[in-house]
Amino acid sequence: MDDLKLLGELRADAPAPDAARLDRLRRRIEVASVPRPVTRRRFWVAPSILAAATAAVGTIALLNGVERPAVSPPVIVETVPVRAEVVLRQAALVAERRRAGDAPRADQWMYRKVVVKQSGQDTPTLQEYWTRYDGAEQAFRENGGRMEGHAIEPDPDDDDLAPREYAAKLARLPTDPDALLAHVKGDRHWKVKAEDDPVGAESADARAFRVLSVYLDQQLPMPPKLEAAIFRAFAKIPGVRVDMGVHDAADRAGIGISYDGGNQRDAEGRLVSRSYVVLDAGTYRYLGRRVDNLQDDILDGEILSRKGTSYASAELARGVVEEPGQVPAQRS
Amino acid sequence: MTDLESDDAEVMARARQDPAAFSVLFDRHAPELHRYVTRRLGDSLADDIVGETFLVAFRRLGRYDTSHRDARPWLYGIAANLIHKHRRAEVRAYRALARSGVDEVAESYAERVEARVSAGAAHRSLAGALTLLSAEDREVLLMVAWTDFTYEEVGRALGIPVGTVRSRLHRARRKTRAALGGVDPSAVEEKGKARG
Repeated sequence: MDDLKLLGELRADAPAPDAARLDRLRRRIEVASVPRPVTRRRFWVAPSILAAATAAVGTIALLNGVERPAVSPPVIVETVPVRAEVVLRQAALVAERRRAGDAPRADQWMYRKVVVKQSGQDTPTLQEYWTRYDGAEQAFRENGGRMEGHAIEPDPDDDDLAPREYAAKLARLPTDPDALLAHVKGDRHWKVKAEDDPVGAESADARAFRVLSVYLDQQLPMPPKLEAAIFRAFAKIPGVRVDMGVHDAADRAGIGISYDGGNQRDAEGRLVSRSYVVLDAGTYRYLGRRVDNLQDDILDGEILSRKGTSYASAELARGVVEEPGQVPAQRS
Repeated sequence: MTDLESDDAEVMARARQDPAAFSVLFDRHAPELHRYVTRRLGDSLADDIVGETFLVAFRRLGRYDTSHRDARPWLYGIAANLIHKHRRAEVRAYRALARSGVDEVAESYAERVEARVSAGAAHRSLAGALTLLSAEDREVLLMVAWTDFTYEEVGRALGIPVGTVRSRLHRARRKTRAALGGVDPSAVEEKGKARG
């Protein structure tokens, strides 16, 4: 008697769900997963394109050190590619002269005000986040509306670090650019990763760019030496490019840092979109993000995003306050 | 796979930018996953586990390895973790089936309970053997028997090397065969087509 065959017969009449049941289930998932902010996360997080971008598809254009882009210029005509190393070296020099911020107290709140402009959306969405430094509570408000708050239960399975934990993580990182680069090439960033995230697909360079970008996007006082090391490490990743005149969601023109090797390409090998970290052109402080859709993104015949559209965010304020609802006096 | 049809990896890459694209993945895999969970734990837990599986998958979208074109092993791996939390109930049902011939899991989805016949002796012995397996060995055995995954895919789903899949399967089958009256337990041939 073949045990596997017999096992194959056991409960072989188990039915697949009918259409109505599937519909109900699909709606349940849509309700829980789609609304902004993504409430299934332990922390509400400002929309983060780069945090999610891990796909390494297509060839990597070697742009670092090359003055002209290998692909045709993007639809955003006013951006100008420049020598990445020169800009990033300058950014590092400016960043390392910053004064280190004081560590907040556990009961203080990290405030962050972000504006988000989706493609096809006429008016941008204004989002404000207050996160207690120890990660115990969070509050959120959209377009100046009602405050929503929630307590955060510690969950060892979750991969969002509390601000305090994240600050400790940043403090432990090497500030030598080569050592930092070596570290992030082996860091998948997320805590939960074991069984569902084999190391395979993402190239070391794509991962390094992604993880360093996520570091820059934290609502935390960034150690100046680390920030400088991040810029210097960017300059060492082949294919990292810098464009001038990249606009954030508040229409501020800044410097866009991007890495095409980590982005999706279409059937003809053209880059579908380019996503930037946008920095202030004078102070090199983080301004926001921008994703330019360079080609139509088509899935099963349906256009998800049209060529020429864009997504952008902009950080309008951040700082440390005493309670949710308060805003810092000035951009810190 | 035709040119017009995106594979799972492309769907996942797109869903990172547009969450609506994620529903394509649900439509593709939820029915079969639902059936698999029903087969493991019964009808009443299937909605919750399938729903939670897709929510976890959605949350972890950014970490999906897009070199794997078929997302099923990844989804079933997430589901396996959720099923594992109900392992005591699962084993209880096998034990009841072994002792009484009544399968409460099968009854949970049967439309007419009174029409059911009790399980045959071989299935009762098999169910008894399933209660003797470690949760890890049982997971491998049932994934091999109740999905069409290759050993490599089972390994990817459970986050274990393919050699470990083979050794767990070998261990599990030694017990199921012994329960069924014994064939040579050291002879583990390649998996047969075992679809239900």
